[in-house]
This record gives sequence, C-alpha cells and structure tokens, in this order.
Amino acid sequence: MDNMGYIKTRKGFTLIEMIIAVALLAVAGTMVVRLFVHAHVCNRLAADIDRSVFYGSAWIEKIKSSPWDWIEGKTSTQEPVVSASGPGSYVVYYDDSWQPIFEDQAQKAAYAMHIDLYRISGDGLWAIELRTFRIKPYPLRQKPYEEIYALSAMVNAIGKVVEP
Amino acid sequence: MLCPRWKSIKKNRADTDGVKRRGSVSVETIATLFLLIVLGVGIFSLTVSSTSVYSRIYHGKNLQSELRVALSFVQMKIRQNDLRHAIRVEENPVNGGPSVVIREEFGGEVYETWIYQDDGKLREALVLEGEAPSNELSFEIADVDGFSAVIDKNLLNLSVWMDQEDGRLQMDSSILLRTGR
Repeated sequence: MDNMGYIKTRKGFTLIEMIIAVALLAVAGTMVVRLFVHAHVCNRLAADIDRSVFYGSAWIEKIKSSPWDWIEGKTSTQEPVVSASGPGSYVVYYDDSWQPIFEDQAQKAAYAMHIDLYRISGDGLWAIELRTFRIKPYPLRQKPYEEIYALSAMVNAIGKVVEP
Repeated sequence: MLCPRWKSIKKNRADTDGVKRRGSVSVETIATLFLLIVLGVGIFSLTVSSTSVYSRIYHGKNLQSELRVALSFVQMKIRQNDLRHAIRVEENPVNGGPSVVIREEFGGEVYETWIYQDDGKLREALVLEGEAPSNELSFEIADVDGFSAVIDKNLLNLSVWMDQEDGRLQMDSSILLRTGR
C-alpha cells in the first residue's frame, strides 16, 4: 500500500522510462534518416540516369561526326578526356558533379562511361554501345561499379545509304 | 537500544523512501535532466546539419537544372530548325560573345533567332533578318554565367557554365547538324 501511495504521489519520469523513450525515439529517428537517405539516393539515381543519357547522346553525336577517327583510334583528333582502353573501346571519367576528368585523375572519378564500337556488317555499319557506371557505391548500397544506363546506336561509317 | 548514529541513518532512509526532504534532489532527477539535455542538443545539431546539407544539395541541383534547361532548349531549337544554311554561329552585337543564330521564314519574311548570353542569363531574341538583337527584345531562357558555341565541320559544340566559389560548374553538349552548314 505504501508503494501505491508512492506511485500516486511522485511526479515526472523515472530514468528507466526516459531510457525507453529515448530508445524508441532513436529507433524511429534511424528509420526516418534511412528513409531520407533512400529518397536522396533515388533522386541521385534519377539525376545520374538523366546525365548519362544527356552526355551519352552528345558522345554519340561526336562519334557520328567523325566515325573513322573513333574506329581507327586516332586519339589525337578526339578530346583529351577520352582514354582508349582497347581497339574501338574508350573510357571517359567524370567526377561527382559530372565534370569530365583526365585519366590520370581517375582515382577521383565517380562515374565511368565506356564507349565501344564494333562492326555489324561489311557494309560500313558500326554499332556504338555506351554504358555508364557509378564507380563508388551509392549510400546504403554495397554494389560498386553499378551500371546506371546503357545507350546504343548505329553509325554508317562509309557515309553511303546501305541497302536493306 | 539504538545508538544515536544508527537512528539518524534510519531516519534518513525513511525520508528518502517516503516523503522527500526539502531542498534535496535525487540522482534520478539529475540523470533524467541530463539525458533530456543530451537529447535536445543532439536533435538540435542534427537539425542544423541536416538543414545545411539539404540546402547545399538543393542549391547544387538547382544550378545543374538551370544548365540542363539551357542546353536542352538550345538543342531543341536546333533540332527544330536543322535546315541547310539555317544555323550559324556568330558574335552577338550585345556583348561580342558567341551566339547561335537560327534563320527562319514566316509568311515571306525572314526572321533570325539569336541565342546568346548576357547579364547572367541565356537569352533568345527573335528579330527580322539584318536587325540587331538586344536584351529588351529578348526572352530569358535560364540563369547561366557563360555560353560558348563552336561549329567544327558539321558538329556544333555547346557549353554553358556557372561560376561558383569552389570552381566552375560546366555542362557540354554536341549536336551533329544533319544538313551540314
């Protein structure tokens, strides 16, 4: 009975109650922060897809303007940010704000755009395959070198109309 | 028979078990208050840092969006008017910077659309052929600090940029003119 009286008369929270409340708040807060980060990642991914399509289209336009330079690997005529990774294969590195960077600064790169050209037929038709990767994993994701988007196009390298 | 010292301890225990003595504060109350203060400070610092991170992200996205809008607009205009001899790059008479000039014909009259940058904006001015564009006649497309347009053979290279405290934020694009020049 004395204890009941004590409970009825005391005011405020006990330490245990406070700890439980703080723990619940921490769990709820963690979930909210996770949600926020997830929303940020989704937003970032959408922006990255947009950028990879935008810049990818620009590279395809450049390749179409002088296809043989790219097929034969005449790097002197291409932009300095393009590094050749094999015959008809190129890589362009971008930093975190999508600014192109040189190959020697590749350790700072956040994105890599792989450009591959391969012959489809003997009539001068070449395929351009362009794939963009995120080098560092997104927050809350453990997958490094994640593919963001892939673009493909065809180029008529001899500049003549190819009969179907 | 209890000694006076033991009586005093028992009295104190009785005080703490039941009615509190006036002027005393229990350890529990101090710990609770301390925990509340720690929680308050933590939430406050989290709110301040989140706000600053969010505003920085928002500002960056806004800048990127402005550049994206500017380039997309120019690309769209060029795609719409990619006719032979219809697109050229020349110095604009407003500030001498580069501009993309698109020649169009409406009802027998020849008009020119000048796309150029001046006063922190990318602008578009539609004037009669031979007339000079001006800011008063132009529409603002987007906020940009710089604009460059270069035609290399039939490839039109475009760049727009924003000058920031920590460097320049630039966006480039290229358009292959299907009709040549």
